[in-house]
Amino acid sequence: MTRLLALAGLRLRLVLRASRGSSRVFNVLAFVAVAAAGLAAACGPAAAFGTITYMLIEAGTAEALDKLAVLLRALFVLVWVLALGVPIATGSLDQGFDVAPLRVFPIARRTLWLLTLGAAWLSFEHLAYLPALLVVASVLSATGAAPPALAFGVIAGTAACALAAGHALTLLVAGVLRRRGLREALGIGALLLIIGASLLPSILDQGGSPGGTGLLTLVAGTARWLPPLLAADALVARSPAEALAAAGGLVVWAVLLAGVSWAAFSFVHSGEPIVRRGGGWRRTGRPSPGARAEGGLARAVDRLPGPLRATVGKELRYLLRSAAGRFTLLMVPLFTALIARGFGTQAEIPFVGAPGADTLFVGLALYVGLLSSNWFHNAFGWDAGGAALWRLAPVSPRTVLAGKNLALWLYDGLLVALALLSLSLLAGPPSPLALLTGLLAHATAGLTLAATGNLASLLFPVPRDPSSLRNSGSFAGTLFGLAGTLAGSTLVGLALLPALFGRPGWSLAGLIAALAVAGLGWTGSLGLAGQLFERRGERLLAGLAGRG
Amino acid sequence: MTPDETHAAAGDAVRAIRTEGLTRRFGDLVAVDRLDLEVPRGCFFGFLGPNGAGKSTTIAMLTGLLRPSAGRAEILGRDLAREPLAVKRSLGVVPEQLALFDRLTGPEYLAFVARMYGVPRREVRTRAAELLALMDLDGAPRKLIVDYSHGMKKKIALAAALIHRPEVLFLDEPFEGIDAVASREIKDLMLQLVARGVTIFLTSHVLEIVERLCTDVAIIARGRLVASGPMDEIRRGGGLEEAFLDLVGRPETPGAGLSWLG
Repeated sequence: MTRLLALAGLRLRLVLRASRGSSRVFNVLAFVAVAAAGLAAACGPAAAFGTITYMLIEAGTAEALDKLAVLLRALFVLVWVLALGVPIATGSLDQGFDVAPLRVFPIARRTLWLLTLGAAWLSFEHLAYLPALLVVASVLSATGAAPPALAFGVIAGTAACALAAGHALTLLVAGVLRRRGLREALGIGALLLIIGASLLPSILDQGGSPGGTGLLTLVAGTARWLPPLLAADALVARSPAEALAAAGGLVVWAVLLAGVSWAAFSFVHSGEPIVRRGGGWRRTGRPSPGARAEGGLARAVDRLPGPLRATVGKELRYLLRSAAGRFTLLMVPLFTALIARGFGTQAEIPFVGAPGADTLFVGLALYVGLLSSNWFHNAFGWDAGGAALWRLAPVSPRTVLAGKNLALWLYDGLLVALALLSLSLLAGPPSPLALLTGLLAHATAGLTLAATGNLASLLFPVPRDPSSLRNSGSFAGTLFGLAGTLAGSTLVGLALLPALFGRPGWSLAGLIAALAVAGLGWTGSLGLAGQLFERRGERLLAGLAGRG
Repeated sequence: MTPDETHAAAGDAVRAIRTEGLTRRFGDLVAVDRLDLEVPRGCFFGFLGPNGAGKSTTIAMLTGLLRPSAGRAEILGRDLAREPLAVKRSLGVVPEQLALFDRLTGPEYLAFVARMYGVPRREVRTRAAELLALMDLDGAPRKLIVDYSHGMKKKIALAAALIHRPEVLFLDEPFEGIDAVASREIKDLMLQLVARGVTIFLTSHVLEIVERLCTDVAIIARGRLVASGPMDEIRRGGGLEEAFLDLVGRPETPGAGLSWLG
């Protein structure tokens, strides 16, 4: 127990000290704001699930109860998507707590296993679904739709199964896939799979093909023995025997998955430490084909002399070799295709009407412009220890920041080009006016993000792992990033308003004015950030070294 | 030019580094306290001190990573605070915490650093190739630095510090974590550099290395300079370790304060 308490204390200190630094008060306030936003984000769906559950139970018809069964299945499937998908997609394979350094102490493996389970339980993916489960169980209990013991037992069983399964999966992935490139590719693939899977039903449904319906039926039939559907069946069973059978199945799954989790932990932690920070698991030999493919753009810039272009070349390579950079490159054309094909260009949008290729392109260009917000607002985060070179080299801070901005704009331009290509192939090319409007909206958003980002990067630097998709910025930096994104989208949104009332020419003029304002803002911020770099350079390096 | 100015100019010509009252405080802690140091041009200078004495802080101030709380530093006759970019162009630095962009390959990193220091484009490739060959890093040109071993990272950091042909080279613990073969190669390279007029400012905990390589030494303890001069003067006929312990203080008998050790 003493050791467990000591380890729990260590964990608590690590969490608390993640926010220490000169801007401690602001960080604490920002933490409260972000936590409140997170709680609201989790409670919103929880309230929705609870309300709908209550309404369906109150209706009491056979049709309503069928809908309740569907709703509960959706909820439990969502739980599993979060528990299994998020840690892999975000590259958080140690689920926030690497116990490898603790192996030198005389601590039983079982204790370490429990500790990692506990740490995993406190992660976003498990805390996010908890309010919805608790609300639904409370509604089912209060209305008498299910006995409280059964309702809360099923919730506990589901949480235990999801926790153990997520834990086992991440450990096995970490243990088997020691190559960084494979791990990154798996993360990107998993996230794309989640996006694709979440949109698949609507696509199949819209197509109305018999094959699509048959596929969905087959998947549903096979999945009824899996924990999410067993949990839903236990709660909407028509007889106690059915409920007990389903709940019993869930218990068997919980025991089985706990065993797998233990076995995975034993396997991974029986040899040399495997989980390491900073992407340095084991050597990979050479860059992946993706890394070679990105060389073209970076090399084209690199051929030119001078510190500015050297910075742009380095930044482009970093962008295109990071998990987040590659994921976005894959995601943008896929997302565009899904929007164009999955939802069509004929669906009615309030105030806009049928979007058509023109509106879609303008919307996508703006959206793509906001995608790089994390890079703009933590420009030195991916440099980590290398950032010291910006202070050692004979180059002005303005050049460094301008180079970083320019690289991001080039990368964003590539994203817009991919979106345009994808959209043109599937929904036809946008008109020249829409093309110009979209590009102006994109450029304005990019300039605004760079203007706020240059300041945020120096005020709230946080080291980032290029291998991970997880956005682990400081709370204050997150707020600053949100403000920058809001500023950019507001500026563009205001300029686009006349277009909604049939005045696209006015919107164009508005966008040109917005671009000029954003340009002035960026120029001003570059000068200010240059001075900040001189004054806060030491704090920047300390922050990136985790001593901020 | 007055006699004083003439004398000062002559001093600049023979001095690579000069500090006056260089001080750095971290809150209440004075990490470096009024350091007055002179390093002759073209010498192999060893900067020694126990852990926490202020060696790395001094290097960080002399290379522009940290700002002094007081005092000034001149490199090759230029004031670091007034002409930071001009001074930095003449420096090569291998910090203790290697400042590397590890998502680049070795050749890409060297090319990047060379361009940051304004090396002509046509020379970048040649210099990078020769440095990679010298450091025995040319066997894996497509490998990212993140996948290098610790020793390889030290070597690429040293190669990057040399690619713009610096006049003064700062090396903070360059032999830490390096195997004997690589260590020997690096030592030979340093001696060659000094023979060609480069000034090397080296910190190391390994006194044998400093004794074998360095021509001049300074010793710092608790932020204050306790000795500085040519190696023979500091050794006073004995070994460097004895002189070092005499100057910074000898440790008490190991374990004497541990009552439970028995």
